[in-house]
Parts: sequence; structure tokens; C-alpha cells
Amino acid sequence: MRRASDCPPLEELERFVISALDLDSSAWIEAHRRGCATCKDRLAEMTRNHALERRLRQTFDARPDSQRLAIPEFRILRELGRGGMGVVFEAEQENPRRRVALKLLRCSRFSDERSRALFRREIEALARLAHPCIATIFSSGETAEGEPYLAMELVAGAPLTEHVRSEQPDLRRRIALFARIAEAVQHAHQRGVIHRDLKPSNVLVSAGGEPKVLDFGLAKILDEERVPGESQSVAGGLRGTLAYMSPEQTRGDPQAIDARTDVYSLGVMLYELVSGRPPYDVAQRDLLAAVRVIQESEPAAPSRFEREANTDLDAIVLKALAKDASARYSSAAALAEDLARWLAGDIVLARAPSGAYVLRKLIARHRLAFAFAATVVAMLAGSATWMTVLYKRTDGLRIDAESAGLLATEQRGLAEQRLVQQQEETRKNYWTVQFLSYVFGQAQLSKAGPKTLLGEVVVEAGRELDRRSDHPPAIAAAIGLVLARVEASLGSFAQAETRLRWCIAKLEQPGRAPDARDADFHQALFEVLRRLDRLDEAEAELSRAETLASLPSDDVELDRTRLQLISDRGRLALRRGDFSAANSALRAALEQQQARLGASHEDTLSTQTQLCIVLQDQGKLDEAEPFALAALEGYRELRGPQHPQTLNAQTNYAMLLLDRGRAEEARDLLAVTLEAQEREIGPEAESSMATRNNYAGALFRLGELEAALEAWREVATQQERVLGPNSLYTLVSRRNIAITLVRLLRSAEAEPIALDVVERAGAVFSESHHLCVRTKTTLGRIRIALKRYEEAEADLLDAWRVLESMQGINPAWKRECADTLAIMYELLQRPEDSAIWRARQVGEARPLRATLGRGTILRSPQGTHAKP
Amino acid sequence: MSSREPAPWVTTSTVLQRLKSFDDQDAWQQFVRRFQRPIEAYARKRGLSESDAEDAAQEALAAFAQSFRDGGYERERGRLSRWLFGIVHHRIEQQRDRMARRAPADSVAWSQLEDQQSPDGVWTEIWERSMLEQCVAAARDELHGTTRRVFEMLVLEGRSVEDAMSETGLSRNAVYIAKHRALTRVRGLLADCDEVD
Repeated sequence: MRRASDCPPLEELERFVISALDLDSSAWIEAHRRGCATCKDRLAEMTRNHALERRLRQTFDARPDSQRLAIPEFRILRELGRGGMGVVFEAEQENPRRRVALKLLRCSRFSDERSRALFRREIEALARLAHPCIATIFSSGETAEGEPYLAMELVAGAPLTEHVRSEQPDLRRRIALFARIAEAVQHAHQRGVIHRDLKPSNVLVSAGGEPKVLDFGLAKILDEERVPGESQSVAGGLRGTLAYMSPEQTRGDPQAIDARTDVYSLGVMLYELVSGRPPYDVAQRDLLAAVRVIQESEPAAPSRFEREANTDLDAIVLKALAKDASARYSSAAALAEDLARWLAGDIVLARAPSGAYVLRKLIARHRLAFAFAATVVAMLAGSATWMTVLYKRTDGLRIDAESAGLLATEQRGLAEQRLVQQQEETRKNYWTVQFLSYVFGQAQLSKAGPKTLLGEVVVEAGRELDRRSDHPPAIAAAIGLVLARVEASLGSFAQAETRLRWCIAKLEQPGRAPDARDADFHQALFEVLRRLDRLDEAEAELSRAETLASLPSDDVELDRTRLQLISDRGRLALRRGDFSAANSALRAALEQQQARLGASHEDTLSTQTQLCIVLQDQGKLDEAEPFALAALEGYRELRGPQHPQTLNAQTNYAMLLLDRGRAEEARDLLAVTLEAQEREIGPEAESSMATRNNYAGALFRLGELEAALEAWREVATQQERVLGPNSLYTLVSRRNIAITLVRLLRSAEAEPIALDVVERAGAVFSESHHLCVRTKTTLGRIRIALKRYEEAEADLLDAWRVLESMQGINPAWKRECADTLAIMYELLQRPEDSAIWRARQVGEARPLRATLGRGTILRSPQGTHAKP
Repeated sequence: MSSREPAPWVTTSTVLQRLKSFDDQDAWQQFVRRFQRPIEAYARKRGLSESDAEDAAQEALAAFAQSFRDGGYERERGRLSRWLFGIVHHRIEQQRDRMARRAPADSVAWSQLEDQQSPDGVWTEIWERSMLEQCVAAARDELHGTTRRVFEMLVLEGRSVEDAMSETGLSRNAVYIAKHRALTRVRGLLADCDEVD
């Protein structure tokens, strides 16, 4: 019998620490410890030492593998690598004698059932596969210590990443190599195996350039039972490599995993192969931020980083990377096939089969640009005969039939037959024009500067229209409207205005009664004039459109026009800076559009976007956010992620982020958006310029003032050239330049700019337009910095008087003015006056910004703190 | 048994205190020896080339030393490794930016970043490993004879107690005593790496 006072030997204490004693001995030591301070201390120390010993063993296990691992048939030669779960060795098999790769489940004595199950599954997955680009399994089993292993083909080669770095293959060879990888993945999919961890380091490329896909350690076998614990959430830990994980993988839902999950990972690899960089830099972010990036951010087009790439290849890569699995290639084979088409210079399926794209592709291949242009022009403007019936009302035809009814029955039958035929023809012609409108509508989606193909086609079509005098006026006007809309979308507002006025003149010819559909022409002219900031003229056109639209008509399309006109009232008010009026008109329009056109109709989304801008300008960010998100989601759904309207919505959402102080996120989103806009609609489109302006705003907010200044100078020069010196947006950018100069302590340079903006804004809009008033505040700040306090005081008090009278404006605008006055009086050592103005500005004034709306609408700017 | 003279371990507090004197080259060398490796390893993991990693480590160490001289380190606000991480991460991101700017736009600059760990996690792992290596090396230098051999056999080589008894001639209990003495010393050194008085 042991005496309680006898201290146990150290070995026994250690066994107690590692729980390797039987119950009786443990209980005895437990009792002993309570009475023995020495052993109590020893145990505490041994417990701490034991933890360290485990760490050291893991870090410095110096035993040679040949000694540590006893596997019959195999002799371990060297370690090749370690992964999350396993260690891979190069080994020699006895029979048949060959070098193999031997993979062991690491620390398998302590590994859980899940790891073992996954390892078993890898063995099963490999056993199903036989493809030259997938490493072959030879055998599997357990080591003497119970560690499972598998022996497989030893691939002598470099990981894909290293291969590309050392061999520097050109883009076409990189794509061809990748297509082989995609074929191997397709082979696995056909046998029910989803890899789930595709990444460059899991592909080795042999010296002969043949890729081998490895590591099916996380594979999913479609017809097999689930591994326990597989439905891991984000919080529960993700399996796989985050940078290559699809959005559905990051959501941790095993049910959502299918072949398209691998297509996404292939897309990430393809992106890297093309551009030399990952689509998202998730390594710098914490897990949840990285997951959000994967689920929400749109990657920049890879062609931005690789000269040899083009928009077709961009489309393939981005389709593979679509957030929504249903928008991706349905299989790795489909991806490989589209890449093969790209290599052959064929039409790729990733591109939406838009008229403009297909035609452009045909032209690129057949060099028939002129022939094409001529064909379209002939179709649009030349075949007047099949269009003549377009504007004939079936009402008229019905009257014909009823007149015929007075005749004999057989004659009535004949008349009715004629009616049906004519109705059919009308329908056919209607659709033909619809098609042409669609083709031309695509001009807005393509990189259509006035010098590009579609721009030329429009010019040519316009000339043809002018030349032909045999069109009935209504038909000529209808064609003119299509052309004018395309011209406006290309930024050629002056031509669009001229054309619309020509169309309206055609319609107003004597003897022709006004038609409710004529409202479309005035509505289009309103939009052009509004964009040209000729707001009084624009309002007159809007009123005319409203009057015409109220004429009786049974045309269902007219309902849409009428709702649009309500929304247009809001747009006009926004441009005038009347936020309260804009807010109520847009809300009224939105309510009706939602009810009658549906929440996802493009007009509804457009109004939603405008309302979001108004609310942001009013500083009501919480109210704005749901509209911003709804518009973004709606456009993504309706038009796809790269559509110009989606991109505008994205810019607006970025501006909301900026307003919320999330400047880095805003900057990143704006950069991505800008890149897409420059690709889709060209750098000089109004939307692209607006986004560049806003990007500069994000830089400003991040304190990168020199960079912001440079960006604004660039965009202001562009805007001046494209939109003219008096455009609201040109003036906004120039005011931003002045503000930045003040911040950079270059107020003398800023003064003439601010002064010019005040004068132009006053003349073009009004003395009480927010741009004019707020630039006066800026001017006040500049003059404080220049120590010309009297002038500053006059500017600021003037601005304040107007601001006080404005309704529904962002309170921050008043604050920035009051703040400046307070600072000025402080500098003038008039503390009482300063205190009065301090009391008026509570909270923080906010920096400058500008936002996109429907099509190409910039939001009004805001002032910034520019401490003198 | 090693024939070289064991280099005595100088506590991190002492190293840092001595850094306050700009002339103490020896202290600077000690300082660099202790912290350069993990910083460089971290920089390499973040995608920097060898020479860029070296530059970034030098800059980070200089900033770290300066900040310490200026009283920037407050013990209450956390461990040394966390404070150092803040400086290192910032420097390396700057270096990455510079790198990105000088890379020609049309070259294929292959990203090496496919590590799913956060920068924080990567740093922790590198820091711990580096400190562990340094402390084990220092402990081996300090320990002598059978104690050192027992430590090597049992902890580093994974050999059995019986093997150690037969090779060193020690009793079973003495083998355990030797092992724990060595482990306790390594723990002490490790704590010193991350705690500054």
C-alpha cells in the first residue's frame, strides 16, 4: 500500500499529465497533489512543458521518414510536400519497381473520423478516374501505425504557377494548356467527381508541357453518402483554398456544390493565367471580408492587365467567374470549348448574342464593314414600303372592314380576310422595327465612340434618311427617333437635338392630327436638353410631351411613357437642385411604376436610381441604401453584371459606401466599375467620366490629394471637350479641383477656378443653384486662406442667405458654410461671432462627391472641409 | 558535442534598452538577428522577392527601433509580436505597392498569394516558428552534456526514454528531470522573446 506522503516518480507524474494512468493511480496522485506543494508545482510545470513538447515535436520531428514510416512494399525517399491534411513523399515501390508519390494522412492517430473519411473518398475518387491529365492511383492501405496512405503516379513537373513563371508561354499557349486542364476536370465530372479544391498548386506541368491535376483530397462524389460534418458554415470553417472558392462554397452549403463550383475555380485559375494576378486580393483581408469580396465584388476585366487578351476572352473568363452558378458555363467542357473557339477566332458563346456583337464579329472576320453598314442602312432607311403600315392604326383597318360590312356577305368575308392579312403584316413590321431598334440599342452597350463602326453606321443611316424624300413623314420620324436616341447614347447631343427637331417638324406637317405617341419625340428631346443643361427649354418639351401623352389612345405602350414623364419631372427637379420636388415626383412615379410595370422593369429601376441619388444628396443615407441595393440587384438580374446601367448602379452604390466612410471599399468598387465602363462604353462616355470623377473623390477621402487632383484635371479636360465648359459635370469637377488645391495649400491657384465656376453656374443654372452657392462657400474658404477676410465674409454670408432659403437640402451643406464662417471669425479674433456660427454647425461636414444616375447622370457635388 | 563557445542569451528587454543608444552596434546586431528572419519570412509569404523582402525587413526594423526609442511600445497594450506585426505589415504593404507600381503593365507578374490564412495568422505562425527555433538553438547552446542529449533524443528526435537511458547512462528519473529542465528553459526563453519590461 502506497503512503500518501511518498512522492511519485517523475515518470508517473508525466503519465498523469498526459492522462495515461489508470483510474486508481490517477486518483491517488490527485489526492497526493492536494497535500504536497512540491508535486503540485511539478505537475503545473510539467503540464506547461508537455504543451511545449508537443509543439516542438511537431516543428522539429527529426526522425528520418524511412525509420518513422514502415509501409510494406515501399521505401520512402524524400518528402515532396505537405498540405492541410497530408504529407506526400517520393517513394520506391518494390513490385513493380517504380518511383511513386506516397500520400499519408498527417498525424492520423489524432485525426478525426472526418479526415479519414475524406482520405478514403480521395482514394475512391482517384480509383474512378483514368485520364492522361489526372495522376493515376496505384494502391492504397495503412502503415504499421495505422496511418492510411495511397500510392500514385509520380509526376515530375512544376506547379502551374512556377511553370508559367519559368517558361513564360505566350497567351495562346497558356490558354491551350488551360483547356487541357478543363478537359481533365470534365472527365472527373463525367464520373461523378467534383474536385472542389482546384488551384494552380494542384496542377503540375511536366517538362513536356502536359498538365496533371492532383489532390482530390476534398473531392465530392455525387452518388455517395455525405461525409459527417460536411455542412460547415463560414463560422465553422471552410474547406478548400479561399482564393479559389466559389461564392456557393463560401456559403458553406454542400447542396449547392456541383460541377459549376469547379468551373468557378477554373475561372479563377484562368483569370490568373491570362492576367497574371488573382481576380480578388483576398489574402489581405480577414475571412469575413474575403468571403464578402468573393460573394459580391466583380473582378476587373483580365484584358486590362494583358495586352493580348480581348473582350471575348474577358467574357469567357468572367462567365466562368459568375457569382450565380446558373450564369456560369454549365460544365468544364463548355468552358474548354469556348476557349477553343477563342483560339480559332470564332464567335464565343460567353458573349451575349447581341446583334451588335455578332455583326462586329462577322465584320472582324470577313472585313466587310462597308457592306455591313450599307446593308443596315438599306434595311433601316431604304425599305420604306414594308414600314409604311407601321403607323397605320388597326382602327383604320377596322373601319375599312365595317364599311365593307355594308356590302354583300361574300364581300364582307373578303374584307375581313384583308384585315387579318394587314394586321399580320403590321405585326411583322412592328417586330422588324423592334429588331432594328434592338440592334441599334446595342450601340449603347458596345464600345461605341463616334468613330467606331456603329457610330459610323448611324451617321450613314442619318445621311441616307436625309437623302430619301419618299418616306411618309411619320415613318421618317420614327426612324429618326431611333437614330437620335443612339446619337444621344453616343454623347452626340447636338446631332440628336437637330435630328429630333427635324422629326418633330415632320410630324407637325399640316393636315396631320397630333397623336399621343408623338409624346415620345418631345420626351426624347427633353432628355437631350436636360443633359445639355438647357433646363428651361427642357421643361417646355416635357410639358409638350405631357400634353400629347394625355390625348386619348388605346396604345398600351403609352402607359409606360406617361409614367416615365412623371419620373422625368423628378429628374428635372433634381437637375435644378430642387430636392424636395424631385423627391416627391420620383416617389410618385416609382409607386406607379412598381404597381403597373413591376419592380424589375427597367423604368422602375431607373426611377429608383434617381430617387437614391436625391436621398443621398439630401444626406438621407439610410433611406437611400435600400434603393441603391434594389437598383443594383435589379439591373444585375435584368441586364447582367457588365451592362452600362448595372455599372451606373454600382457607381451609385460605391458613392453610398463613400458617404458612409467606407472609402477604401468605395475606391476599389469604383476602380472596378470604371475599368468595366471604359471597356463597355469607352472612356469618354458620360458615365465613365462620372465614375472617374467619383474615383478621384475616393482618393481625396483617403488623403491621396495629389492623385485626386491629377484625376480631376484629367476628367475635367475630357468633360470640357465632350460636354462643354458649362455642363454641370464639368463645373462639378472643376470645383473639386479648386477644393483639392485649397487642401494642398495652393489657394491662389484655386481662386480663379472657383470664381469661374460660380459665374458659370450662376449664368447656366441660377444664382440659387446649389453648385453656385456651394462654390461660393469654397470661394470663401479660399479667400480666408488668402487672408482677404472681407471678401470671404461677403461670399460666405451671401451663400448662407441662399442656403437658408433652400428646402430639403442636405444639412451638411449648411454646416460647411457655417463652419467656415466660425473658423473665419476665430481667425479674426471675434470669439462671440465664431460661437454663433459654431452653434449652427453640429456634426461633421462631408467631402465632395458626384454620382451616376440613369444613363449618364452625375450627382451634384458637395463641399469639403478645407481648413484655411 | 559542439565545440563552439555558446552565445549567451540576452533578454529582449536588454536588447531593446541598449538600442536606445545609437552607437551600440552590438545591440543592433542582436536585434537584427532576433527579428529579421521572421519579418523576411513573412514578407516572402506576402509575395515579395528576396531582395524586396530584405529591404522591407530593414525598413521595418528601423521603424521598430525608432518607435521603441520614442516610447511607442506600451506593454499594457499587448505583446511585442503584435506591436511588431503592426509595423511590419504596414511596411510590407508599402513595399508591395512600390513593387506593383514598378512592374511593367504588360508583364505577367504571377501572384504567389494563394494562402487562405489572414496576414495576421501567417505572421503568428512565422513568428512562433522563428522564436521556437531561436530558443531551441539558444537552449542547446546553454545546456551541457547529458541534459542536452536527453532533450535532443526525447523531444527533437522522438526517441524513447529507454534509448536515452542506455545512451546517457542516466536513471529513468534523471532522464525525466533532464528533459523537464531543458523544456523549462526553452519556455523561459520563449516568454522573453515576446515580453518586454
